[in-house]
Amino acid sequence: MNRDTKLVTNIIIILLSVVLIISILITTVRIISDNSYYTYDTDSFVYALRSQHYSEMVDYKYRNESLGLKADSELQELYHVATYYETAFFYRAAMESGDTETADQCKEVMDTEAAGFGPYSYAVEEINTVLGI
Amino acid sequence: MSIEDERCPFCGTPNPDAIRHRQDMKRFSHEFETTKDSVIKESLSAAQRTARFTIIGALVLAILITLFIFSKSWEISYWLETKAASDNYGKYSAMLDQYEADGDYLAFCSLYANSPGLSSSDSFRSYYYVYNAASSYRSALLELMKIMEPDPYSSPETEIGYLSDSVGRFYEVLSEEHYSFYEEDGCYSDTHMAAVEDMKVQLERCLQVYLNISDEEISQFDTMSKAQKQVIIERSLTENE
Repeated sequence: MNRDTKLVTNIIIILLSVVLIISILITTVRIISDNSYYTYDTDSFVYALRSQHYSEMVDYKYRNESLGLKADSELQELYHVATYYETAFFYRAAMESGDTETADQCKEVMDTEAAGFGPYSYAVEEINTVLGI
Repeated sequence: MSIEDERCPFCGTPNPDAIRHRQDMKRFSHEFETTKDSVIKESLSAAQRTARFTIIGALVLAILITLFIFSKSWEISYWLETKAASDNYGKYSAMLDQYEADGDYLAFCSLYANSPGLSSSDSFRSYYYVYNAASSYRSALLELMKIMEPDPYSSPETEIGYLSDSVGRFYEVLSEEHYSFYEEDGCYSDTHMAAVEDMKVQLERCLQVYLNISDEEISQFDTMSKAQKQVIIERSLTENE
């Protein structure tokens, strides 16, 4: 095997090795990204809260929970707001349709959730106004 | 006297054949070594060439395999997720059953739709019908909630359209034909049918309260066309304003 052939084959081997490493990395990243799902962070919740789009918070909370996202204390407070809104929505429906048992259960949940609002405690009144409670 | 003897053992005369033999052997030995070196060198070179081309071939094959995996990454992920969901059937089915029993259909719907592999795994086919109903129920409830919320960027027509579509889809699920293959999977079990009925009660109650729809009108929602439902929802919202 002469020196030129050696040199050429060495260059080809090096180039192919680089291409292989890059393609393995790209494939790994792609498989990982195919297996990862979007979850909503605190900012998304706060933005929805400021816009009074509470239904979005409800939707975000369920999505995060179904994907097993571990919520920190701040996110947990926003989850309380979302749960409060959802329960309050059913509370008014139960109350006005005369289902006092369900309404009482909802009220109990609402009181518990409202206690966990933290800095977002102002939202209780806003939500009650939006829902006409 | 043999060919190896340089001289005659009897008279001491030099043996010309032995001298020639020795010279021949020396030459042969040299040629042998040269040939041997050349053969070794050649075979080493061939082995090196073979090794290099084998490495190149292996690298090309590995790149092709990686590219194939890359092109099939979605299918691979889908398969992995479906398998993981099936492997965790006990855990997920317990959660789904609990949500269904608690009437927490939004959580049920979210878990079924968002947890990787659940909706694609055959193991969870018995939940398909109740999920279908829960999905429309969820959309209708969220749309109804949105109507209550202030949104300067959304037009009432759009909101009414979305809500009517979601409510319409829910009643379509309720009135859909019961397919035998779903029947075999347990989609229409008493538990699931009771859950769907409960969703209907909850949704109708919310529609009545938040849109001021009368008992008579809501009792006809089952048989009304989508357009008729939309007219009632639109009228109710206009009156509420």
